[in-house]
Amino acid sequence: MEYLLPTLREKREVDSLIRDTIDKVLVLRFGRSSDAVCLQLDDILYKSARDVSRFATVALVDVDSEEIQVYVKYFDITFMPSTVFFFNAHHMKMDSGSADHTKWVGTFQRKQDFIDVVEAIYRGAMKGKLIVSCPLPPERIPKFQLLYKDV
Amino acid sequence: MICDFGIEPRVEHFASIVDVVGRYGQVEEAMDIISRMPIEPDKAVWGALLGACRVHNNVELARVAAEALMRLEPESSGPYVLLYNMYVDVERWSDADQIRIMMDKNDIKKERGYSRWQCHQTFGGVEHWKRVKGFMWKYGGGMDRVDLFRIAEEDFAKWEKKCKALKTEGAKAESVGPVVGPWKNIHNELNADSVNSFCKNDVDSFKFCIPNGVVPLHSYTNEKTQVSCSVLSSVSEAGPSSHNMPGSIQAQDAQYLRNSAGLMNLTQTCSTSKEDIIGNVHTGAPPPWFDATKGNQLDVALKSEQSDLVSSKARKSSKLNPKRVGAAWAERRKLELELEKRGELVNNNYDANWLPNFGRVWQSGTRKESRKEFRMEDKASPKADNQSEVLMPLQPYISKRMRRDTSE
Repeated sequence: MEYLLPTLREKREVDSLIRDTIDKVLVLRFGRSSDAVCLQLDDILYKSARDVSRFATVALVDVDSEEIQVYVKYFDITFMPSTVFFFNAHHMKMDSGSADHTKWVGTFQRKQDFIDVVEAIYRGAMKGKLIVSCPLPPERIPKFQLLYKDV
Repeated sequence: MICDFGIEPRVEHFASIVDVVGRYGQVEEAMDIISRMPIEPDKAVWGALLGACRVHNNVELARVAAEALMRLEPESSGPYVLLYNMYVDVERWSDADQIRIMMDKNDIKKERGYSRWQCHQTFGGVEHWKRVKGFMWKYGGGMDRVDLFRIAEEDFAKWEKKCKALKTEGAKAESVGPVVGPWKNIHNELNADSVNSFCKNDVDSFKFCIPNGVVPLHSYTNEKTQVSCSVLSSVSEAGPSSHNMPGSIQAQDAQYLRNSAGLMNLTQTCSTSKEDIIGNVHTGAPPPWFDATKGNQLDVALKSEQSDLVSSKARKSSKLNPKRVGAAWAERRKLELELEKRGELVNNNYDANWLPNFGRVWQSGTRKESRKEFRMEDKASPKADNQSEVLMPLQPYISKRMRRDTSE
């Protein structure tokens, strides 16, 4: 999928993308391109990238690169794939009923689900909200469990 | 059947068997089955046999079946009609007359155009229902719509009433159509109608009957009429058809049959040359509700509207919500990018330590703190690694009191 969606391996690239995407939602997928679930998510992202291109940009970040480890720690990325949303260099949170609101863990079941999520984020951002609620019903949201450490 | 499938054969099963065997040509076998049936044969069974006999021209067995049916359903005209037709086909005129006399004696009324027995038996019977269900299941399609292909008793009664009403109306008007002639055409009409109804696949069409003496108006004239089944009756009652009737009944019937064999009964509106001159939608002419004088005003109004739309769209896009997330940052960044494009400001100071605005998972307080926290944790983590290398001596736990006591 690397040749279809822009894949970022350096911190510099990620930074420039975050800073330069203005008035559009930036979707960053953190994951490995060889993982099965990542592949499924990449497939959905690729297919919907064009449809949401007017209000969103999609990019993939390879989690195995060294420079990206800073971001892995900063964003607390433990599950693959994780998707983080940005708008105007501000991080957008989404309440999807899980414990972690800062990112979307897992894949989407349908293209339409992904488009709905991105649309919800865009609408919330345009209204000035930093956190939005998820438009999907709970059965279509991938479930995961957060492990605690040093709390 | 009981051993293989665990179900007891019922009368419907026997009806199906008789039907299949009869259709195949072995009507004697079918009769055999009926005589050996443990259950009393009902009208479906006899009906199946009668149909098979009709197809394979077995008059004797047809008579037996018809008589059984007459006993089962004394008011039905179907068996009489079928038997009559068979006798006519084999030119047994005396027998045919006898049937006629029986009908009059028992006060059986034959409906024009569509035999009650065939209609109701075929389309209201259990067999038909089963067959339709099987077909739908096999070839896909809404099983809930199977009901459409079946005629209920009430609908049938309504149709019969309608037919009777039509007949009386037709009798009032000047019906010259010969009464004797159509008798011989019962069979043909029956067949034609059943063919039509199968084509149309529509419940309404089943209820149609061509009443004698009432002619469907066909508009090769300049009158606009609608040749639809439901409207037919009212149109025919209107009366202008009466002058058409005498010679042209057969012709009209044939026309109508031909038309209905097609898919839709669309009539042509007479398109005169006048309308062509004025122009229509396709030529781009203005619609008739606009006056010619007001046409110019209309154009001006349209153009101004369009320009308004364009300008309003431009206004909308330029005015993004100032309260949106990161608005201030976005404005600043846009300015920076423009400056970079122009080449005035070269921003090459890439900060390796720049981190975007991010709110952490377990965090109370504002987002600014999350970056600070992270930086602190980052610094703290290598020190923590160093410390873990020094082995801590294991000591038992001594309570405070004990320690106090020992120190005292």
